[in-house]
Amino acid sequence: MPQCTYISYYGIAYCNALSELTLPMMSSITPSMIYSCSNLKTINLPICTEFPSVAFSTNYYIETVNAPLVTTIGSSAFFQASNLTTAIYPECTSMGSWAFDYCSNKLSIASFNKLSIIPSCAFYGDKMLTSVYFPSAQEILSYAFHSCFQASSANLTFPEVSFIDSWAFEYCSNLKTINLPKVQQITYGVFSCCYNLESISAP
Amino acid sequence: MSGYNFASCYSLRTISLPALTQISGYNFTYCYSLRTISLPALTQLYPPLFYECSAITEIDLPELTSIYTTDYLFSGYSSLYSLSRINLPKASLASAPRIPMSICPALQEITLGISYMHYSVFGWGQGYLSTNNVRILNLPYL
Repeated sequence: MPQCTYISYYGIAYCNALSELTLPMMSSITPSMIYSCSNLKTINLPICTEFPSVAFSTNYYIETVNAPLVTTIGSSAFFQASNLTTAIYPECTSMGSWAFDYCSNKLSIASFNKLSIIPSCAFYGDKMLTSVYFPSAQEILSYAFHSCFQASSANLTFPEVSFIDSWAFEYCSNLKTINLPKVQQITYGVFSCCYNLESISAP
Repeated sequence: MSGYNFASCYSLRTISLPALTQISGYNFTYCYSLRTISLPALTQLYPPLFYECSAITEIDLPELTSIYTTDYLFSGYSSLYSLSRINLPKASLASAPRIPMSICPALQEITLGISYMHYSVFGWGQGYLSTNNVRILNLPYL
Protein backbone atom coordinates (compact mmCIF):
# COMPACT_ATOMS: atom_id res chain seq x y z
CA MET A 1 0.00 0.00 0.00
CA PRO A 2 2.43 2.66 -1.26
CA GLN A 3 0.32 5.74 -0.51
CA CYS A 4 -1.37 4.68 2.71
CA THR A 5 -0.65 6.94 5.70
CA TYR A 6 -3.30 5.80 8.18
CA ILE A 7 -5.08 2.59 9.06
CA SER A 8 -7.62 2.45 11.87
CA TYR A 9 -8.04 -0.13 14.63
CA TYR A 10 -8.38 -3.63 13.20
CA GLY A 11 -7.97 -2.19 9.69
CA ILE A 12 -6.04 -5.28 8.66
CA ALA A 13 -7.82 -8.19 10.28
CA TYR A 14 -8.26 -11.85 9.43
CA CYS A 15 -6.18 -11.52 6.26
CA ASN A 16 -5.03 -15.09 6.54
CA ALA A 17 -3.30 -15.26 3.15
CA LEU A 18 -1.21 -12.18 3.79
CA SER A 19 2.43 -13.00 4.46
CA GLU A 20 4.21 -9.68 4.08
CA LEU A 21 2.99 -6.12 4.55
CA THR A 22 4.81 -2.97 3.42
CA LEU A 23 3.59 0.50 4.34
CA PRO A 24 6.18 2.91 2.94
CA MET A 25 4.34 6.15 3.83
CA MET A 26 3.15 5.35 7.30
CA SER A 27 4.99 7.26 10.00
CA SER A 28 3.00 6.03 12.99
CA ILE A 29 0.83 2.99 13.32
CA THR A 30 -2.45 2.55 15.15
CA PRO A 31 -2.69 0.13 18.07
CA SER A 32 -4.19 -3.19 17.06
CA MET A 33 -4.47 -2.14 13.42
CA ILE A 34 -3.22 -5.62 12.54
CA TYR A 35 -5.24 -8.42 14.04
CA SER A 36 -5.32 -12.15 13.56
CA CYS A 37 -3.57 -12.40 10.19
CA SER A 38 -2.31 -15.86 10.76
CA ASN A 39 0.35 -15.99 8.03
CA LEU A 40 1.67 -12.47 8.30
CA LYS A 41 5.33 -12.84 9.20
CA THR A 42 7.03 -9.66 7.96
CA ILE A 43 6.02 -6.02 8.28
CA ASN A 44 8.06 -3.26 6.62
CA LEU A 45 7.65 0.29 7.91
CA PRO A 46 10.55 2.25 6.41
CA ILE A 47 9.59 5.72 7.69
CA CYS A 48 7.68 4.81 10.84
CA THR A 49 9.02 6.56 13.92
CA GLU A 50 6.60 5.40 16.61
CA PHE A 51 5.11 2.16 17.82
CA PRO A 52 2.34 3.06 20.29
CA SER A 53 1.39 0.96 23.30
CA VAL A 54 0.13 -2.52 22.41
CA ALA A 55 0.94 -1.82 18.76
CA PHE A 56 1.67 -5.44 17.89
CA SER A 57 0.66 -7.20 21.08
CA THR A 58 -0.67 -10.73 20.81
CA ASN A 59 0.25 -10.90 17.12
CA TYR A 60 1.62 -14.36 17.71
CA TYR A 61 2.65 -15.01 14.11
CA ILE A 62 4.75 -11.93 13.31
CA GLU A 63 8.44 -12.71 13.01
CA THR A 64 9.95 -9.42 11.86
CA VAL A 65 8.97 -5.77 12.01
CA ASN A 66 11.45 -3.75 9.99
CA ALA A 67 11.36 -0.12 11.09
CA PRO A 68 14.86 1.35 11.00
CA LEU A 69 13.73 4.86 11.96
CA VAL A 70 11.53 4.09 14.91
CA THR A 71 12.42 6.24 17.92
CA THR A 72 9.61 5.44 20.37
CA ILE A 73 8.27 2.06 21.37
CA GLY A 74 5.27 2.15 23.70
CA SER A 75 4.37 -0.09 26.62
CA SER A 76 3.55 -3.67 25.72
CA ALA A 77 4.12 -2.85 22.05
CA PHE A 78 5.13 -6.44 21.32
CA PHE A 79 3.50 -8.12 24.32
CA GLN A 80 3.17 -11.83 23.53
CA ALA A 81 4.37 -11.42 19.96
CA SER A 82 5.67 -14.84 20.69
CA ASN A 83 7.27 -15.62 17.32
CA LEU A 84 9.18 -12.38 16.94
CA THR A 85 12.76 -13.29 16.01
CA THR A 86 14.68 -10.03 16.33
CA ALA A 87 14.31 -6.62 17.92
CA ILE A 88 16.73 -4.33 16.13
CA TYR A 89 15.89 -0.64 16.37
CA PRO A 90 19.02 1.49 16.05
CA GLU A 91 17.25 4.85 16.40
CA CYS A 92 15.07 3.98 19.37
CA THR A 93 15.56 6.35 22.30
CA SER A 94 12.44 5.63 24.35
CA MET A 95 10.80 2.37 25.33
CA GLY A 96 7.82 1.68 27.57
CA SER A 97 7.64 -1.07 30.15
CA TRP A 98 6.75 -4.58 29.03
CA ALA A 99 7.62 -3.61 25.45
CA PHE A 100 8.88 -7.04 24.41
CA ASP A 101 7.74 -9.27 27.24
CA TYR A 102 6.85 -12.87 26.49
CA CYS A 103 8.31 -12.80 23.01
CA SER A 104 9.20 -16.19 24.24
CA ASN A 105 9.54 -18.60 21.32
CA LYS A 106 12.12 -17.09 18.98
CA LEU A 107 13.40 -13.70 20.03
CA SER A 108 17.15 -14.19 20.13
CA ILE A 109 18.65 -10.78 19.31
CA ALA A 110 17.92 -7.36 20.76
CA SER A 111 19.88 -4.37 19.55
CA PHE A 112 19.23 -0.76 20.53
CA ASN A 113 22.10 1.59 19.82
CA LYS A 114 20.63 4.73 21.38
CA LEU A 115 18.41 3.54 24.21
CA SER A 116 19.56 4.95 27.56
CA ILE A 117 17.00 3.34 29.91
CA ILE A 118 15.92 -0.27 29.59
CA PRO A 119 12.50 -0.12 31.25
CA SER A 120 10.86 -2.46 33.72
CA CYS A 121 9.97 -5.87 32.35
CA ALA A 122 11.13 -4.81 28.89
CA PHE A 123 12.15 -8.33 27.85
CA TYR A 124 10.52 -10.34 30.64
CA GLY A 125 10.22 -14.01 29.78
CA ASP A 126 12.15 -13.89 26.49
CA LYS A 127 13.82 -17.18 27.25
CA MET A 128 15.44 -17.61 23.82
CA LEU A 129 17.31 -14.34 24.02
CA THR A 130 21.03 -14.95 23.59
CA SER A 131 22.52 -11.72 22.28
CA VAL A 132 21.83 -8.14 23.33
CA TYR A 133 23.47 -4.91 22.28
CA PHE A 134 22.79 -1.80 24.33
CA PRO A 135 25.89 0.38 23.97
CA SER A 136 24.18 3.52 25.33
CA ALA A 137 22.12 2.04 28.16
CA GLN A 138 22.80 3.68 31.52
CA GLU A 139 20.01 2.14 33.57
CA ILE A 140 18.41 -1.29 33.62
CA LEU A 141 15.14 -1.17 35.53
CA SER A 142 13.44 -3.89 37.55
CA TYR A 143 12.69 -7.25 35.92
CA ALA A 144 14.00 -5.96 32.58
CA PHE A 145 15.57 -9.30 31.59
CA HIS A 146 13.82 -11.55 34.09
CA SER A 147 13.68 -15.18 32.87
CA CYS A 148 15.70 -14.46 29.72
CA PHE A 149 18.85 -16.18 28.43
CA GLN A 150 17.63 -19.69 29.18
CA ALA A 151 18.18 -21.47 25.87
CA SER A 152 21.93 -21.23 25.43
CA SER A 153 24.92 -19.63 27.08
CA ALA A 154 25.00 -15.87 27.02
CA ASN A 155 27.91 -13.54 27.61
CA LEU A 156 26.77 -9.96 28.08
CA THR A 157 28.37 -6.55 28.19
CA PHE A 158 26.67 -3.33 29.15
CA PRO A 159 29.45 -0.78 28.74
CA GLU A 160 27.66 2.30 30.08
CA VAL A 161 25.26 0.91 32.67
CA SER A 162 25.62 2.53 36.09
CA PHE A 163 22.37 1.43 37.79
CA ILE A 164 20.56 -1.90 37.85
CA ASP A 165 17.25 -2.20 39.66
CA SER A 166 15.77 -5.17 41.48
CA TRP A 167 15.46 -8.64 39.97
CA ALA A 168 16.64 -7.38 36.58
CA PHE A 169 18.32 -10.67 35.63
CA GLU A 170 16.65 -13.14 37.97
CA TYR A 171 16.22 -16.64 36.53
CA CYS A 172 18.52 -15.98 33.59
CA SER A 173 19.57 -19.57 33.95
CA ASN A 174 22.09 -19.70 31.10
CA LEU A 175 23.67 -16.34 31.64
CA LYS A 176 27.34 -17.25 31.84
CA THR A 177 29.27 -14.01 32.15
CA ILE A 178 28.39 -10.34 32.46
CA ASN A 179 30.63 -7.32 32.11
CA LEU A 180 29.52 -4.10 33.81
CA PRO A 181 32.53 -1.80 33.73
CA LYS A 182 30.69 1.32 34.94
CA VAL A 183 28.09 -0.03 37.31
CA GLN A 184 27.75 1.98 40.52
CA GLN A 185 24.55 0.78 42.13
CA ILE A 186 22.82 -2.58 42.20
CA THR A 187 19.68 -2.85 44.26
CA TYR A 188 18.05 -6.15 45.14
CA GLY A 189 18.15 -9.71 43.82
CA VAL A 190 19.56 -8.62 40.49
CA PHE A 191 21.32 -11.88 39.57
CA SER A 192 19.54 -14.29 41.87
CA CYS A 193 18.87 -17.74 40.45
CA CYS A 194 21.30 -17.24 37.57
CA TYR A 195 22.33 -20.84 38.09
CA ASN A 196 25.11 -20.91 35.48
CA LEU A 197 26.57 -17.50 36.04
CA GLU A 198 30.30 -18.05 36.36
CA SER A 199 31.75 -14.58 36.53
CA ILE A 200 30.91 -10.94 36.89
CA SER A 201 33.19 -8.13 35.98
CA ALA A 202 32.35 -4.90 37.73
CA PRO A 203 34.25 -2.06 39.41
CA MET B 1 24.50 -3.01 47.21
CA SER B 2 21.28 -4.32 48.75
CA GLY B 3 20.50 -7.97 49.39
CA TYR B 4 20.11 -11.21 47.43
CA ASN B 5 21.81 -9.97 44.29
CA PHE B 6 23.73 -13.18 43.66
CA ALA B 7 21.55 -15.61 45.58
CA SER B 8 21.44 -19.11 44.08
CA CYS B 9 24.14 -18.41 41.52
CA TYR B 10 25.27 -22.00 41.87
CA SER B 11 28.11 -21.75 39.33
CA LEU B 12 29.65 -18.51 40.49
CA ARG B 13 33.22 -19.36 41.44
CA THR B 14 34.88 -16.00 41.88
CA ILE B 15 33.72 -12.48 42.42
CA SER B 16 35.70 -9.29 42.29
CA LEU B 17 34.13 -5.94 43.04
CA PRO B 18 37.11 -3.69 43.66
CA ALA B 19 35.19 -0.44 44.22
CA LEU B 20 32.31 -1.75 46.32
CA THR B 21 32.17 -0.09 49.74
CA GLN B 22 28.87 -1.27 51.27
CA ILE B 23 26.96 -4.52 51.05
CA SER B 24 23.81 -5.87 52.63
CA GLY B 25 23.03 -9.38 53.79
CA TYR B 26 22.28 -12.54 51.84
CA ASN B 27 23.96 -11.34 48.67
CA PHE B 28 25.83 -14.62 48.16
CA THR B 29 23.26 -17.00 49.60
CA TYR B 30 23.46 -20.52 48.10
CA CYS B 31 26.50 -19.73 45.98
CA TYR B 32 27.75 -23.27 46.48
CA SER B 33 30.70 -22.93 44.08
CA LEU B 34 31.96 -19.60 45.30
CA ARG B 35 35.59 -20.09 46.26
CA THR B 36 37.23 -16.70 46.18
CA ILE B 37 36.03 -13.18 46.74
CA SER B 38 37.77 -9.89 46.34
CA LEU B 39 36.12 -6.92 47.98
CA PRO B 40 39.16 -4.82 48.81
CA ALA B 41 37.33 -1.51 49.34
CA LEU B 42 34.43 -2.84 51.39
CA THR B 43 33.96 -0.82 54.56
CA GLN B 44 30.44 -1.71 55.74
CA LEU B 45 28.80 -5.08 55.97
CA TYR B 46 25.29 -6.15 56.95
CA PRO B 47 25.42 -9.91 57.62
CA PRO B 48 24.93 -12.69 56.92
CA LEU B 49 26.79 -12.45 53.68
CA PHE B 50 27.89 -15.95 52.70
CA TYR B 51 24.93 -18.10 53.68
CA GLU B 52 25.54 -21.69 52.50
CA CYS B 53 28.71 -20.80 50.62
CA SER B 54 30.21 -24.17 51.39
CA ALA B 55 33.20 -23.85 49.02
CA ILE B 56 34.57 -20.52 50.14
CA THR B 57 38.05 -20.90 51.58
CA GLU B 58 39.06 -17.41 52.63
CA ILE B 59 37.39 -14.18 53.63
CA ASP B 60 39.78 -11.28 53.37
CA LEU B 61 38.21 -7.86 53.82
CA PRO B 62 41.11 -5.56 54.62
CA GLU B 63 39.22 -2.28 54.75
CA LEU B 64 36.08 -3.48 56.49
CA THR B 65 35.48 -1.30 59.51
CA SER B 66 31.83 -1.71 60.39
CA ILE B 67 29.82 -4.88 60.75
CA TYR B 68 26.18 -4.34 61.60
CA THR B 69 24.81 -7.50 63.11
CA THR B 70 22.88 -8.95 65.94
CA ASP B 71 23.40 -12.47 64.77
CA TYR B 72 25.44 -14.51 62.32
CA LEU B 73 28.33 -12.82 60.70
CA PHE B 74 28.92 -14.86 57.58
CA SER B 75 26.51 -17.72 57.50
CA GLY B 76 23.51 -18.58 59.57
CA TYR B 77 22.47 -22.04 60.52
CA SER B 78 24.42 -23.20 57.48
CA SER B 79 28.04 -24.22 57.48
CA LEU B 80 31.03 -22.74 55.76
CA TYR B 81 32.75 -26.11 55.52
CA SER B 82 35.77 -24.96 53.54
CA LEU B 83 36.52 -21.67 55.21
CA SER B 84 40.03 -21.77 56.62
CA ARG B 85 40.97 -18.14 57.10
CA ILE B 86 39.22 -14.92 58.06
CA ASN B 87 41.08 -11.64 57.91
CA LEU B 88 39.21 -8.55 59.10
CA PRO B 89 42.01 -6.44 60.54
CA LYS B 90 40.01 -3.22 60.87
CA ALA B 91 36.61 -4.61 61.67
CA SER B 92 34.64 -3.58 64.69
CA LEU B 93 31.25 -4.95 65.55
CA ALA B 94 28.73 -2.14 65.52
CA SER B 95 26.09 -4.02 67.48
CA ALA B 96 26.11 -7.05 69.74
CA PRO B 97 26.66 -10.24 67.77
CA ARG B 98 25.74 -13.46 69.50
CA ILE B 99 27.01 -16.18 67.23
CA PRO B 100 28.87 -14.43 64.48
CA MET B 101 31.09 -17.24 63.23
CA SER B 102 28.42 -19.89 62.81
CA ILE B 103 29.78 -23.33 61.86
CA CYS B 104 33.23 -23.29 60.34
CA PRO B 105 34.90 -26.66 60.97
CA ALA B 106 37.95 -25.94 58.79
CA LEU B 107 38.65 -22.51 60.19
CA GLN B 108 42.28 -22.24 61.27
CA GLU B 109 43.18 -18.58 61.33
CA ILE B 110 41.20 -15.54 62.45
CA THR B 111 42.20 -11.91 62.55
CA LEU B 112 39.64 -9.48 63.92
CA GLY B 113 39.97 -5.80 64.71
CA ILE B 114 37.29 -5.88 67.37
CA SER B 115 37.81 -4.00 70.60
CA TYR B 116 35.35 -6.00 72.69
CA MET B 117 34.04 -9.53 72.56
CA HIS B 118 30.48 -10.56 73.14
CA TYR B 119 29.10 -13.91 74.20
CA SER B 120 30.01 -16.90 72.00
CA VAL B 121 31.78 -15.10 69.21
CA PHE B 122 33.68 -18.16 68.06
CA GLY B 123 31.27 -20.94 68.57
CA TRP B 124 27.84 -22.00 69.69
CA GLY B 125 26.43 -24.62 71.93
CA GLN B 126 23.97 -26.75 70.04
CA GLY B 127 26.12 -29.79 69.43
CA TYR B 128 28.46 -28.26 66.91
CA LEU B 129 32.08 -27.44 67.42
CA SER B 130 32.11 -24.57 65.05
CA THR B 131 35.67 -23.39 65.33
CA ASN B 132 37.55 -26.13 67.10
CA ASN B 133 40.44 -26.21 64.62
CA VAL B 134 41.49 -22.61 65.03
CA ARG B 135 45.23 -22.42 65.50
CA ILE B 136 45.93 -18.74 65.05
CA LEU B 137 43.84 -16.03 66.62
CA ASN B 138 44.82 -12.40 66.15
CA LEU B 139 42.89 -9.83 68.14
CA PRO B 140 45.20 -6.82 68.11
CA TYR B 141 42.80 -4.37 69.74
CA LEU B 142 41.30 -6.55 72.41
